[in-house]
Amino acid sequence: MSFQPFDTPKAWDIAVAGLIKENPTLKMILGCCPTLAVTTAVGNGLGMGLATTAVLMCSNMAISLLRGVIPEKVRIPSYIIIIAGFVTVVMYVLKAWLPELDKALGIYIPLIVANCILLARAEMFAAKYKPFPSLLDGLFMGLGFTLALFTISTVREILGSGTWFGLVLTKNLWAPAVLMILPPGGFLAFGLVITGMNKLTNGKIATPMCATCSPERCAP
Amino acid sequence: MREILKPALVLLAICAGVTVVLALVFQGTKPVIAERAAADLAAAKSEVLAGADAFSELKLPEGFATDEFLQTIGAVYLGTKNGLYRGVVVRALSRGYEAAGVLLTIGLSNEGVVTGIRVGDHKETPGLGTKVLDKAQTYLGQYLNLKPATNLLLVKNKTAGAPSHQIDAITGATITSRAVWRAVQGALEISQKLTPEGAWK
Repeated sequence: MSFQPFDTPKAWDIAVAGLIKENPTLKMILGCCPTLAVTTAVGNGLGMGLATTAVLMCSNMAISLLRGVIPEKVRIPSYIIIIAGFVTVVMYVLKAWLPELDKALGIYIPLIVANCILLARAEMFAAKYKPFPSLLDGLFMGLGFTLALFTISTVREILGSGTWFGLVLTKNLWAPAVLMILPPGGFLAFGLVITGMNKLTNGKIATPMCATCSPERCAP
Repeated sequence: MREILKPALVLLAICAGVTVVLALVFQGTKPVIAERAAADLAAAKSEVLAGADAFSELKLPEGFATDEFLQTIGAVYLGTKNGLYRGVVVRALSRGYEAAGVLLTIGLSNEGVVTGIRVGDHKETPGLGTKVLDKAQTYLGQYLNLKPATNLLLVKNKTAGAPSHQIDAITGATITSRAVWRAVQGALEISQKLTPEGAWK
């Protein structure tokens, strides 16, 4: 099947959607597993976010280029294979030529395959639009993910370890609540940050008529 | 028929394409990665046993068995300086939280003192397990310059003034703490099996 031609959204709309309106983590609640797992320290959250952004941009580009070729019936396995392929290539390239970056980000790379934000953006955006807007969408969705991880890990690191980026902040003021860097603290901080985000954006979850969708496709 | 065949063929083509790309990347990066691993091993050896400048691999004695926690004692290297035995370097893969294990390089002087620990590849949980393996944190430092009279003991919330063979485990990273502890204990046991000249007893 061929996809319906939609009006390409403007760069500004893509940016606002990725960072705020349709923030993949805080509005769409996608990619919870890496969100909960790596937000124990700000450095980790930032590393995971940026590594994901890079892969997301590549996979969005590739899927957008292949959007006329991939038949609808096998699109999901096709996307998964392309994403997994990219992740593996990035893993080997980092190991071979960028060992410093590999030391810093190496442990996050395999986690990216399991991140459903990539699959969601492939399905919701890259499969419908041209490569350049898809690249932008990957960039801003990735940055939205990074922003969310950064905020959650800031809450968790300050409350749980009393540090921020490893800098000691609360020395002797109070004993850090270790709970916050353990799994339950992940859920608590995640919930708090979602609440804050909804409060700031008037409490509305993304409406069915979202910025990157057409009325025919998205109307309930 | 066409409706079944076409998607199947396209999917097959995508899989084949990705496979070819991965094979090429693997072939292209393999020698570079192997070179890096060799350079890393050399750097690790001289870092953990700074007192030696030449290293030779030592064969483990016949029937040498590691316990269930240590996946492997990868290799033991004798460190010498001007032909004199200065200590051993033990490379161990220790079972951590992830199946991939933690690669550790441990240096021990000829007197059985822990001279250095270097953490290699691992896939431990960022923020929890990595706290144990981070040089800037306190955990690894507990082993340095240690020459325990008895076996090392891993404890929770070590009290001030407790003997130095007690190692304080990190909260939230018990398994990774244990991985390092087992590997260092294993390395100590190996060094105790060596004579002062660097031969197996």
